[in-house]
Amino acid sequence: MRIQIKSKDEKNINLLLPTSLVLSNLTAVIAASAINKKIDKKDCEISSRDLCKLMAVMRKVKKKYGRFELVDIQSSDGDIVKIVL
Amino acid sequence: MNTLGKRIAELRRGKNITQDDIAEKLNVTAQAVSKWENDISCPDIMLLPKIAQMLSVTVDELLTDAPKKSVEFVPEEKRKNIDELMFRIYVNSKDGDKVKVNLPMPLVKMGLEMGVKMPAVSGNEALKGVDFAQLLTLVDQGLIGKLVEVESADGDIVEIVVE
Repeated sequence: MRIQIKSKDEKNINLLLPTSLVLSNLTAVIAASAINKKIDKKDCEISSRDLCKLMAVMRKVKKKYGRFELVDIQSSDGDIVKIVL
Repeated sequence: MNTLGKRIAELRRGKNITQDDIAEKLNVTAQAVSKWENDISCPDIMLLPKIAQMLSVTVDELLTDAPKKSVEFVPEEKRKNIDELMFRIYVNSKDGDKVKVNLPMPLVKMGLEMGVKMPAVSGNEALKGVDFAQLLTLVDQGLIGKLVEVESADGDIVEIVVE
């Protein structure tokens, strides 16, 4: 997984993360607890089991599409954020 | 911005076609197709209509980054498996910010099962009133293309395209 942050003024950040680690069930459990702390439970409550299922779907997507651009954000200031699976 | 090569690659993968298939039909080498997709070279202008036809888009859609404009009803016999479709959310804010989220359909289904609301995904309030379960039903019945276009009071434009 690649997370790319290009800022007009500051340094660019290019994070290359091993997909197998990011999409693992352990990550899902950690992420679920972190998300539930940050997000209002009225909006969405995510259990670690659900997130594990989501990770499984993501792994299938990665297998099917290979390099897949999930998010592409371009701000009017020229900042760019990209998340590529 | 998506380049022509990236669009060809994305559309090709979406249709489950290999580079070899394209190369064979266009009478070019698979290496040439690979070079197009990696933006090392561009396809001959005379090949564009054939490429567009193979990828089920117009030449315009192939050359521009704009989302597919029209809504199309696909008859049952020509319909793709719903899990092979792509859910694309485009948000163009008044300030000039552009957000593009590509979600494969299995991911959307999973998100809805988990109770994730779409403003949580895109961060845009204009999506609050959109019933995503209803959209999935429409897609299931064969509707694809630009299913939603919302212009908020702030001037933000949100589009949801299924392709």
